[in-house]
Amino acid sequence: MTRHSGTAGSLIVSLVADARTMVSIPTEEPEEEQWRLLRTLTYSANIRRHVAAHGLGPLADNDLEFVSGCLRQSEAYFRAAASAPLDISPLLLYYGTTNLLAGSALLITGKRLPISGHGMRLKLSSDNLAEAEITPNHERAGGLQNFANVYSDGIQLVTGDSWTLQEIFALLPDIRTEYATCYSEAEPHSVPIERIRTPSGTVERIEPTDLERYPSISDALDLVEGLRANYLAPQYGAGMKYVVLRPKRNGEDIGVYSLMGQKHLQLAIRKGKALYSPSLILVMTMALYALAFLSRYKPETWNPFLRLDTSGEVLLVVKFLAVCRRRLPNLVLDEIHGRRHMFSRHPEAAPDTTALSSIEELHREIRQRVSEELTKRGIAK
Amino acid sequence: MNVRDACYALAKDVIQQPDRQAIQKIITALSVATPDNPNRSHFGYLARKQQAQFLGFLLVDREREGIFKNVPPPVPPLEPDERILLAAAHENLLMIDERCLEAGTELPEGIRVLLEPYGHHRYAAMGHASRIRLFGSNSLEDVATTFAAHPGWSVLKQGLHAAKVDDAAMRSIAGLVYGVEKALSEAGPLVLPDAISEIYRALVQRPEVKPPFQAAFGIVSIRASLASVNQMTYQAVMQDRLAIFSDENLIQYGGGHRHLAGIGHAVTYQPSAAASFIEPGDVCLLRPDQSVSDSAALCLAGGVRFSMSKDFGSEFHAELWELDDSLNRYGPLLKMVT
Repeated sequence: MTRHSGTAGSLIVSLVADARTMVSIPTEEPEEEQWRLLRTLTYSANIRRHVAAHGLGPLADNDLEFVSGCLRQSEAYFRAAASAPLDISPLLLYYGTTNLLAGSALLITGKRLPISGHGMRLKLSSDNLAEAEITPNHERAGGLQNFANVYSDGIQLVTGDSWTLQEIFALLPDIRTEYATCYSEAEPHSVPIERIRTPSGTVERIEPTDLERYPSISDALDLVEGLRANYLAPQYGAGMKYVVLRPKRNGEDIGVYSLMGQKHLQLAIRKGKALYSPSLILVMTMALYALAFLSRYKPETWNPFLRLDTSGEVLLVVKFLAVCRRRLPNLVLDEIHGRRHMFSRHPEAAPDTTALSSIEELHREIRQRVSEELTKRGIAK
Repeated sequence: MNVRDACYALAKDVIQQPDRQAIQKIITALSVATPDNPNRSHFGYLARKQQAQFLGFLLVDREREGIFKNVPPPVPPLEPDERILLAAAHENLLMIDERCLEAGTELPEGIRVLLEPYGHHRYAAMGHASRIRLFGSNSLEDVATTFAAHPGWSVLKQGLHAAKVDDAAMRSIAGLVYGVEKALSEAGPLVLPDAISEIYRALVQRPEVKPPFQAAFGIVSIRASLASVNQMTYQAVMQDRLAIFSDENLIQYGGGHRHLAGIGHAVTYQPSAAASFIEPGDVCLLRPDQSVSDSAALCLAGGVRFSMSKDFGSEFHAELWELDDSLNRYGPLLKMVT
């Protein structure tokens, strides 16, 4: 049988895994810093180095220009959106996003995506924004499915199923509170997880009230794709204060993370028998498309919504756009480099070398004590 | 085929026997409190705590008045039918032990007595073995045949041959057997008792003292294997499957700790259908790397601790002895003296 090291070993393995999957970047200006990092990839020499380091082979000169141009335009659109009024900012952000995704896809796959359209259409059957329906189309040349292939594990979206804007908003951890307030009966599809390190390993737990809009806790958990493969059976009910989840020893992290680094579990959207858990990049792209389409082509709907909304839904949209501005470049940066970039204004986001050194000290201490004990018992040579 | 394979086959045979249901029913009833008899579950708990399989229930029944003297309300004794069936089940286990110990027929009486796993309980068989049938003769034969090849026999015989086995030596071997078993049992699966370290040092420095230790370790190993055979048979009466610790319920696996007396494993697991509740002395399967390997270790539970929290859920912590092909948890002890 394979022998593993003990508790201290497991702790080190988990720290090393964290270090591999996340990089902390202390900065005064996270938004500026993320674009600075992306901007490094607008220079041919850096693009060549990146592509070579990822084994993607040399790029043609026009591909280098394509990447550089896409990223530069994207930044320009995002900056313009930041100072533009709500009348046009969704459109600017959507354009910036498609540029960002198209250019970065080449850095991730080494190939240009064969895109010739948005790959989705919008249907507005009422003035209710939440009911606006997005239907993905054009599997081969549609932008959305092509982006899904790169940024969402190839999830198949061109199935004839439509998505309401409300469903899409439900999947985003960063607007969870605004969503719950705005749509007071709707089920959330992003549930925060509290992670606690105990002597026997990490416990992840959910407040049962976060699932109270579902018929039962079990109905809600059935929507978490990969739950059984990556967690032990959930413990809840019978006097339990939380829904307790224990990650499996060899399980993968199936969560998504909020801007502030809080883990969430996505509860898939059910359409017929199929469950859909698109990535945050894809979800934001779909919602931006809907809002951009409305602002560009349906001013008779968009204008009264901005001026006359009494439901407070406009606040949700404002928050969503702000989240997109900050998060989309961050998420794309994560995809390009294969690890999470955590920007923080707090100096403690810098690597905690004290903790690491204490683990090394712990190891030294254990080695010394074992050696002393073996010598004492006359077992050591 | 080794002892483990033969014992698996025996357990499968037990599971097929209709008679097991009557025993299962009695023991289950003895483990559940009822409004009329709230101490009934305590009866079952104490009986299982004896780690003597069916005999545990007979022992608690025998000592019932003393045990429950200060724990009202009084616990009624076993019904005559219950007592007879439990005695019959115990005597079925004695049949296995007798057949397995046939390989030591020529050994001195004092040694043969030491080999009997239930000997120290001094419980006289009542001659009810034929009242029930827990296994067929072929399964029993296979266990006995494989047990004859137990490595403990050759070590034991080698030790006895070299030592002068007079009355004093016999007493010394008996003392060693009980001393070693007590030390190992108290230390648990993960810790090497100081006593064993001292013996090891003595054997390295003075090889001439080896024979009595060979005899003692041979006896300890054979007794340990027989105890595992008995326990597996008992568990086959009570359940269809062994508890399994795998990726499906393991919260933490501290790894295998190999030392001079055995291989210990520390597991923390979440109760589940595969392993809801185990007690010290239970045989179970450990498959910590199920996703990459089908290999499993058969183990025997040492200490078991349960913790329940409304904040963090329930978990069991168990220390396990790994059993070798002969179902011996002290296999490395034999290597120390060969």
